[in-house]
Amino acid sequence: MKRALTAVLSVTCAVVLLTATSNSALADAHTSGPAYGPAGCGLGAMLLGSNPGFVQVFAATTNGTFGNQTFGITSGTLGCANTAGGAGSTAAFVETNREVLVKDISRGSGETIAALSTLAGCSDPTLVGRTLQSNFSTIFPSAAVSDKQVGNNVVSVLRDDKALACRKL
Amino acid sequence: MGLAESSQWLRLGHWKASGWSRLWFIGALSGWQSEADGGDFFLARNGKSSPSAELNATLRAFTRPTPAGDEHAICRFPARFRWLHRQLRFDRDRLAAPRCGKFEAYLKSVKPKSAIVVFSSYFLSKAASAFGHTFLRIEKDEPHAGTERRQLLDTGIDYSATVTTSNALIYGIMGMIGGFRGTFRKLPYYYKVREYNDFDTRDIWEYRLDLSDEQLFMLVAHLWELGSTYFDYFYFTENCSYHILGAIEAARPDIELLSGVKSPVIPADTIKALFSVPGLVVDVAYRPSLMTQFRHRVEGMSDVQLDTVEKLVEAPDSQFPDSMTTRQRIQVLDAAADLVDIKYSKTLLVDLGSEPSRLKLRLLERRARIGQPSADVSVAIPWHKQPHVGHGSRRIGIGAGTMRGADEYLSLQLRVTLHDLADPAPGYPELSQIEFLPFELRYFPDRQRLRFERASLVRIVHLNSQGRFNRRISWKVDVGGTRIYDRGCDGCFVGVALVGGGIAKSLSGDRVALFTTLDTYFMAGPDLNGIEDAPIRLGIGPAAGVRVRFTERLLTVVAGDWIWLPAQTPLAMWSASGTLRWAISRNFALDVSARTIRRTYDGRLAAMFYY
Repeated sequence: MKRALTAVLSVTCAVVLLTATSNSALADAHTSGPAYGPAGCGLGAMLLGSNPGFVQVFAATTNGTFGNQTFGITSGTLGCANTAGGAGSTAAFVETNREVLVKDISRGSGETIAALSTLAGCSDPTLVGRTLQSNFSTIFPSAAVSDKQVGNNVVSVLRDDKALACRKL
Repeated sequence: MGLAESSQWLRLGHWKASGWSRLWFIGALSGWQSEADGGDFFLARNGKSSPSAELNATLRAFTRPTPAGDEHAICRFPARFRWLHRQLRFDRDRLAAPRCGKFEAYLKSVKPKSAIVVFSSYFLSKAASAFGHTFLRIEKDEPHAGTERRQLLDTGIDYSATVTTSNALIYGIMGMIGGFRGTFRKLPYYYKVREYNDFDTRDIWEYRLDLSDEQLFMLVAHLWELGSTYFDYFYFTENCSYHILGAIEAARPDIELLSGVKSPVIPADTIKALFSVPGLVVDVAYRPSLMTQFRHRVEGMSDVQLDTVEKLVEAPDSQFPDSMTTRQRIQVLDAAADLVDIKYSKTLLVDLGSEPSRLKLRLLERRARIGQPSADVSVAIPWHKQPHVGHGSRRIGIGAGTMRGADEYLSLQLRVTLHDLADPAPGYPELSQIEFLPFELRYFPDRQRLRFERASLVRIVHLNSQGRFNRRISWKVDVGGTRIYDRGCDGCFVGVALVGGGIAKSLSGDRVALFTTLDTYFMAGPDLNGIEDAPIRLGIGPAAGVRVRFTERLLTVVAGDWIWLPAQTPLAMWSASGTLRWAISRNFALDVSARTIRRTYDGRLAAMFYY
């Protein structure tokens, strides 16, 4: 009986060690310097936290989250959770959806462009798509441009083109 | 029965009959216990265990003039207030009239038009998401905006644990014993889409609920009430899917959802529970993942186009073949950009100046310069993959068999959850197996012996078909115990931990899948004489197999392995096995299995019920 117990225990230990080490190995793989600001609405910060590898394994993608009050139900609707429309929520939307939006802008169409038009109060999403597409290099001058800057660039392109009539900006 | 024990009140407070009261003879002595664990959720000191005390305290608090504004009970508990007002028709003049600025702002931002339960598909690469995940989308009532594709700006409401440890072991234990706090959160739906559809590349299914305006208000108002409290998060029972159902029940006191859900609570089972109420689900919608979109983009491409996609993700400035039309160039660039997102999802989010992000930008600059809008991707909806059409999450098998042509036995197999490669395919990922606590017990009538044949804690197989654009490995894990038959130990039960990795290739739309892995074994058992005569065996060796799906309900899996046991007795082990399973209906299948045992065999016939 004692031997059986020892056997079971050693199996358990092996498994535990296995999972624990594999997870921490994963965690270590992605601790290189994050390039987003602490106050941004960027998806990287939201999904991966300030220490990406660490959170990646345990929280954001595992139905869990580190105490992040940004999204409390009763804590208000400002900042990154704002979808009311206007310049603030447009910029927040751009920051979070950057990786898809950059594709949609290059393609001149897509779901994020439709949502963006709604937030900015522009009347014609097709025209918005075309305008953003032709301003691609103004909005994304380099790969390293910050999420926030991209947000500002989008807002100013939309605002400056009077033909778009984005009334919420 | 008074108001305090009406089902609506009990659901608003999440009171459940406490454990002992389930025994009828003790029922009268026992009481209630709320699942909510945050103190602020109760106005009475003993509110957690007394619905009636809480009811009285709530009514008293409604009449008190203080505290003013958002802290007033009427503002904190708008669903309770709405319902009690309807029941008691109390005179509003006698009540306080606080200004609920925050609640009003919340309502204004959510602007509910309808409620949708969202199922984010099985995701084996992350343990806690392996069974899928559910949350709510509250559709925004925005008459001015275009009807289509406005979903991104809707409100997502999910229930998740606040994780407080980085240690895998502690995480696992805390998750099981309720060591984390679970809270409801509200966030723009686009966060969820980006996280699940894009980052995890999981398909999303959406189930629109039939709620009246009043019920919808109750749901949204009750979620506000829940926002101020927390629940102890139990990974297997009181998990995300459980509390999402609980919130819906609170808005629809006329229906039962939670009572029919088994433990452990599997997200897909909670979707089935929605369908158990006729008419509750009015619409099903599908949102393809980035991976699914990409596959759709490259589906009809010529070899020249595919080659170009492959070249572009390495060298974004590669020349297009002269013969390529503008439309084809657009298709190729669009596919290449998606592929970069899939391949470098993490790097792109974390490191803006990195090589992949420059690569992506270069591709997109080229795309933008061509101009012209791209056509929308419209993926045909794979209706047979809807999670609620799958077989039941538990399985019981009863059968009989014979070993070595002589030892006849009866077999009982149980599996707590969820799916293996030979189970009926609808509703489950095609090339994945995830089983939790499967075991087989055998009874040999001649010898009057009852014994375990195998018992696993967890068994996972995740096959990734190799292709031009997918080089991901396939892997498997098995932890548990099995009976081995060889020269070193004939018929002893040993603990096994197996980890393997390799490659797979599927053909003709996943109908046929071939796989091979290199497996490492660790075995331990009192009767083993393995390394240095210690009761431990270590082994390594190749395994290979094939799965064929003849139809959605007729499948076979054949596999074999060879394990080298260096400096042990015996020096090697090998086995071959095959299963043919025919599902006569969604939840009933016949199974015939066979495997080798030391130059002879073990054959078994079984009937399997899924429930």
